[in-house]
Amino acid sequence: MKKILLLCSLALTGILGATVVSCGGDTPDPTPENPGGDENNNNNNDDTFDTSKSISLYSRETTSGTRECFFEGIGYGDVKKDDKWNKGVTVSSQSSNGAIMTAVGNDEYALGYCSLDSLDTVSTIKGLKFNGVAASSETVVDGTYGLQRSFNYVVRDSALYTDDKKATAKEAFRVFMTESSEGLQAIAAEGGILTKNVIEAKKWSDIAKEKFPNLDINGVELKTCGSTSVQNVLNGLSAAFKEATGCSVTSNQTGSGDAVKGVTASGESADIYGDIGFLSREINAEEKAQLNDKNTNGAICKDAVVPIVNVKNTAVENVTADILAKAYKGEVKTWAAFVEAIK
Amino acid sequence: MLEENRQDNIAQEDKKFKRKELTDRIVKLIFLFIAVVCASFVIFIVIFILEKGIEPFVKNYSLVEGEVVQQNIGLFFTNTRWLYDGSGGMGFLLLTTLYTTILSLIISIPISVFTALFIVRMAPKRSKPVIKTCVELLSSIPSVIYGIFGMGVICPIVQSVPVQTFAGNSILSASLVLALMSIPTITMVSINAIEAVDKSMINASIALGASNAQTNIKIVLFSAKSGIFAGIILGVGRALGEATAVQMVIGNNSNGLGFYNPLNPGMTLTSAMLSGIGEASGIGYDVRFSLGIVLILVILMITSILNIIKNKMDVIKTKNSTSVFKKIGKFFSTDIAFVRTYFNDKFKKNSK
Repeated sequence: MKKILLLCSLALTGILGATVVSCGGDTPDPTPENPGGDENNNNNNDDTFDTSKSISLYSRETTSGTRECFFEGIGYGDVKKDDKWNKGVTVSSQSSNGAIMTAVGNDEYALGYCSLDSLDTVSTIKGLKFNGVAASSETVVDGTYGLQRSFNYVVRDSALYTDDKKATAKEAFRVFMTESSEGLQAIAAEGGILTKNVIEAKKWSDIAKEKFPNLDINGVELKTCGSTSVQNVLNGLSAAFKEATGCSVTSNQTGSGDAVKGVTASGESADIYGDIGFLSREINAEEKAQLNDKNTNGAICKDAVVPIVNVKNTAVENVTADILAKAYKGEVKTWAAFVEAIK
Repeated sequence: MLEENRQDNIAQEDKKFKRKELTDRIVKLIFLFIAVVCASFVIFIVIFILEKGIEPFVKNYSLVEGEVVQQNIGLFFTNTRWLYDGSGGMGFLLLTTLYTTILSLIISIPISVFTALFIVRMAPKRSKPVIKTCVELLSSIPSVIYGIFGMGVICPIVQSVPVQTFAGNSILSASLVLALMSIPTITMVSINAIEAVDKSMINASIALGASNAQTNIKIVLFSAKSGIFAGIILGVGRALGEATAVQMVIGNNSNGLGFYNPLNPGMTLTSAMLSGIGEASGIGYDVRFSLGIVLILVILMITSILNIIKNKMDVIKTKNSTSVFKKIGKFFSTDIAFVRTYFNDKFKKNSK
């Protein structure tokens, strides 16, 4: 009995010691410039990327807007809001941009995605080009980077209002979010990619003096409708607008399809109603037919997602929507097949 | 005269004694009321979870773009994927939860019991309080810290096996984290159980020629098994109910067909409830309460079964043991009767 206990304690000590040794180590983290991670920039034979390995798929949680943008962009919309993966496909869900980047950074054979504004914060991952275009604010704004979408707005016709104060508040909010520096900063703070320069934007106080003299909308309540993906941006805008004017903005987001429905509704008693509607896509032809020239609309910001792999993955630099969709559908299971499909 | 004085003194002493006893019994009733109110919170929580958890099966929910759904009860038990649109299945979530818990117990029980045995029976007197304090401190570490430790240390260890994993995010990692979390609970209760073993039995064993090791294993552990089992029941409860730490290391794979492989990512009832809850709405939010019902039922069932096993393990049973409900009833009737009698007597005297 004593011998058994002694052997068990020795084994436990050995395991603990091995753990400490393996967790430590002097090897620097690999970077995109130095995927081998060696101090002398030498490529170690041990770090050769094995393309026969399976692709480890990572995704965000079902409620993530980044997930929605990614799967819409690659044409696999079935899974944009729920885990309707094909049978036999294993996908690990992560709770945030940070978590998915950490997971991909720790897994040599991982494939995932993250929002553009988080990309440079983790050195063990690299962003892939999409259709030959690298993601950046410039390529998103000029439209050459494909994996992006616009967040658009549409406002209710002021002629439909009986309360002039509310109509004024609605217009003030539209101008606040599209022209004022405070509004643009609120959008950028929530990860939106701006198409306008914040530095050149005027302050709300100056805009209000010019366009809304004697503005008094304290206590007015505006309602929004439409896309759920805009919720974070909307929360930031609502808080900033309330601070600037005292007018509160309540959101009831049920989907992009309800944006035009809401702003053209007969009154507040309708099922779907909004003073301003938001869409995470362009307004389609059918919806445009329901609007008139008084329903001002436009884009408030853009949203871009970047496919990512581990920095040690030297096999892939550029991907297409088709190959990404195939990987997540389980039609392409190994990195060798992935590389072959890209060619 | 003297006799009258003596009678008066006795009456006064009797009054004082009755007043004191009355105060004691009223205080006992007040404490009983407070304890019942506290215990009833459990009932309120269960009723709330039941109410919200049944809603997805009976209420119509509007999904985005106008679709109306309800949680399909058949798919809830049979689907091998967990979804938040009314067609998800919790069967594999339950199996993964039980599997993860069992794996964690396989790791934690021997470590906890042997640690407790060492602390009580073998550790030098000076180091005993130090080791005990270290184990107690483990139980005060928050779950999220265990989760971060799991992500930073346990997942890389699991990843280092010569088989491809999802950066170590797996059922095995979750089991190891749960084992770490339940070790202090099981150890502390086991320490109390082992300390309560009759010293005379230990001395008798040694006097009969058994070695310390034989005495520790065959006498001490055997005698303390009921208490150790109680610790295991607490450890099971902790492992079944843990959400944060598990969600951080298990990988959250909602397709359940590969749950039997501990190196695959998985999903438990608790991690499914927690995943994306911050932005969930409609049926996607309410269906988590349905999982809560399943979790409560599972915990109740397993705890009841383990308690039945524990009761059968008890060696000594008193002959005229009274049930708990009879004892509570007797408490009620005796004390309330005393209070009633006291006030009745007092009112009668005043009316005279």
